[in-house]
Amino acid sequence: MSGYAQHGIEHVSASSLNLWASEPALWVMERLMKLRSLVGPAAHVGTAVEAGVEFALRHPDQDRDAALAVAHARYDEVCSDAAAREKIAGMLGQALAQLAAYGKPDVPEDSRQHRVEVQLDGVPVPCIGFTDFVFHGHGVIVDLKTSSTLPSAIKVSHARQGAVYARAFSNYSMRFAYCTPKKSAVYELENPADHLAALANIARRLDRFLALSKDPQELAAIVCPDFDSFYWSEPQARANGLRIYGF
Amino acid sequence: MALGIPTGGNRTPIVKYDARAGRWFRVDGKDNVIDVTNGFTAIFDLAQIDIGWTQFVAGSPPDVSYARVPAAMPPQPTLDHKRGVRLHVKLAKSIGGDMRELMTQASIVMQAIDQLHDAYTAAPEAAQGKLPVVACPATEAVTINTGTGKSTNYKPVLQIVSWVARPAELPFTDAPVPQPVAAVAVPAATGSTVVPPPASRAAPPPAAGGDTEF
Repeated sequence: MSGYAQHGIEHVSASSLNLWASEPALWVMERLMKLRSLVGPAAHVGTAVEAGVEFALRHPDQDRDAALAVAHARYDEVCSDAAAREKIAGMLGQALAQLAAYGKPDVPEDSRQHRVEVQLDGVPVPCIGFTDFVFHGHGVIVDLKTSSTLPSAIKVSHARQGAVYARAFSNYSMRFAYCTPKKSAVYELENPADHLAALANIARRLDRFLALSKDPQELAAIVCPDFDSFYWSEPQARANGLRIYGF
Repeated sequence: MALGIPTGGNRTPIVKYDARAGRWFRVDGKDNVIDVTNGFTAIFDLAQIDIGWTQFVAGSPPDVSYARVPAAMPPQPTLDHKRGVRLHVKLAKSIGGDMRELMTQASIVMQAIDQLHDAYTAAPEAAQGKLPVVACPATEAVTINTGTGKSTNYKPVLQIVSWVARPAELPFTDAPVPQPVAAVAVPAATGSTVVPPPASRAAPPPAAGGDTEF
């Protein structure tokens, strides 16, 4: 029996595998012990900006203020951090400056995102994901990333995520739009096959790890949390980590 | 040897200096190590001195990567390879009289050989092709703090006592060829090329003539 089957895991995702690779202790706590951490304001800003961009692209007749209102409304539903909220307008403007020329994104009839599912080599469960924006007319997929600083290249964890989309939409150009309140850039993914192979490698290691024991507590006893990592910045996550790992 | 396959052959016998004991040994076999400290004297072939790296692996010959002075230190093959110096010497008759390989990875011994090499290159006899007869009349205790305590080693005092013509036992040899160091593998690039948005697609031109076929 595979490790995944042993723990009732029916699929993986790039974000889950990236978390396992970066902070296995947090992965065990969240995914096996079901102690999910709260999402911080930065993630809510990203979701809000994406909602604003989606609205603007799908309603080119509406002005930017309408898109900003959509983004603010989405943010206000889930977060009250005023300082983070102030970043939305700048990021939205930067994102639209990059993406407006792409035109209206294509969406499935029954959803606002394309669900993709790929098989990773040697992994007994599928890897799923949801694309931000697909432009069939251009043969381009764009994933929006909001950030406090503009990276000079696609981050490795994002490359793995993009590799899943690129496999699902073969022959499409996979791009990442990075947006800060003042800067933005769109980069094209390179070497998607290598990054997909890396993701498969990570998934196989996770499978072997899970096969060690049916008991999450026993698996937790193998890994160590790194509380310096931003993954543990949320206070409740740190409290849960302290309780689970004892230090 | 028609197949060109190396079949072993004789290894160069070695002479070694134990810095922790401050003593010279002639190694004539695994269980035959002879202390030759008293009266140690040898012709040092400082015209053919190699610098590089050695990794000692139990049960295997040492893995080496050396270059001949004045070539630069070759790149370190792996982190397990330690810096070293090697050269050939011809022992005085009183301590064996044969040609030996001297190799060391001890810093204070390499320092002593380095200083000896400086003296050699500065001497006019070196330019004449002569080799120095080197004696080791004493040692200097060098105590260092290892972090967990103190450790005392003994640096050999190497002195040129005379010069001789190159003996037949120390022929000129081909300089060693350092191991090529494999390029450092790096993860696949993720992409740092900024891409512009796709060009707008112009509407298709209207059909000419107004005739539409179905």
